Amino acid sequence: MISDNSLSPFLFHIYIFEGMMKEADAAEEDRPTLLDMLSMGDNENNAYITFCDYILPAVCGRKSNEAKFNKSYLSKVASVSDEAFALLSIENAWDRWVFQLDNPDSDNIPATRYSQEGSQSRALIYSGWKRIGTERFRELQKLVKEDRTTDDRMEFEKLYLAKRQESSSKNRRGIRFRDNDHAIIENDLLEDLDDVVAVGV
Amino acid sequence: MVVSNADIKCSNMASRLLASRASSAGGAAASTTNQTLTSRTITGRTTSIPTRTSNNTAPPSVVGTTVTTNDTVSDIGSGASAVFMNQQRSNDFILTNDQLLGIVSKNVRLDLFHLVKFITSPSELDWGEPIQRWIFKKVNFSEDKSLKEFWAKHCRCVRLALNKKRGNVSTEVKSSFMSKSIISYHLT
Repeated sequence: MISDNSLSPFLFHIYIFEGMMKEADAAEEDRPTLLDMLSMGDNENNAYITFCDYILPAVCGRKSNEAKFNKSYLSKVASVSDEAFALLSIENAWDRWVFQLDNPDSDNIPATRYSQEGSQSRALIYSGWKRIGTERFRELQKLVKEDRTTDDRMEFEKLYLAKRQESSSKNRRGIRFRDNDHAIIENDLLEDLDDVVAVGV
Repeated sequence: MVVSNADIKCSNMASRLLASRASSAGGAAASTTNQTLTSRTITGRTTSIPTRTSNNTAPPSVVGTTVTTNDTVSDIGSGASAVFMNQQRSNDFILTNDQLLGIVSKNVRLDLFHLVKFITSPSELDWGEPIQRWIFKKVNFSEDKSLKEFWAKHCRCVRLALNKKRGNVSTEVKSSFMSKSIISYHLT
């Protein structure tokens, strides 16, 4: 470790700057890319776990399928077209959303790949999607179908189910009453019951 | 209009869905009817029976000790009450056009969307195509002439419901992507 006193102010600033750049590079390497997500069952950079945790439930129904995700394999809960549409959605707007995350105040937002902007008649022909968007969807359906037959995918689904079950059991432990300190709050129940008994008598 | 309101009858699931709504809508009347026709006995005492003819709206009063132990139902075979009960029963199985469309669009949103994401050609909604057959099977519609005309008139609603659902899902995907958890743990 280099002490701050051993460096001149100029060198010290360079040292700090280099450190920041290294951290930024590391963060950049850790960040899953769109290609990672499209690798599906290969789960490059844990990208598909992120995809299954956050994106896929938005398509399948987050609340209605919450329990199913903890009990069944992914391919039993999400249909092929659910998965393909989730991939299409993020592929369509990946550049735009990442740009918006990095530059929240910028107005110069990149266009989406497959969906039409605005409400012109051209946008309505394919229900807001360009023709290449629907073609890409068909292609993604094929890719998902193929991916579901691979060994990597099987391994991934087992791993993901185990992870979900582990995290759900942790969550369940967290809300047990006996783990918490009880606050005693008086209510009017007993008085009300007394009244009922009095009337009954 | 080809299919008149309140003329389409269907069975099983669709009617059950609507039956629950109808029973809740007519619940007050039904429960009132039951009250007026039933002599309820509580152990040790009985309540007086408010009758329909007397229009007695006062709460039942405690009369005294009792004899019977079972609920008894008075004869409903004649008079206005019988007509009313029959109407209530038959209303459970009659669906208006709007209700039918509601059932169809609910099925599109909840089930069909997981199987079909895009309807790109109008011919996909033709009579006899997989989407029509799937929906009719799902809601137990018979494939008679009146429903064929109903489908011809309203199949566009399936496409609209699907488009709307797809738009909602896209918004949901975006908010998931932008959510704090993804930003802080995965993407940055």
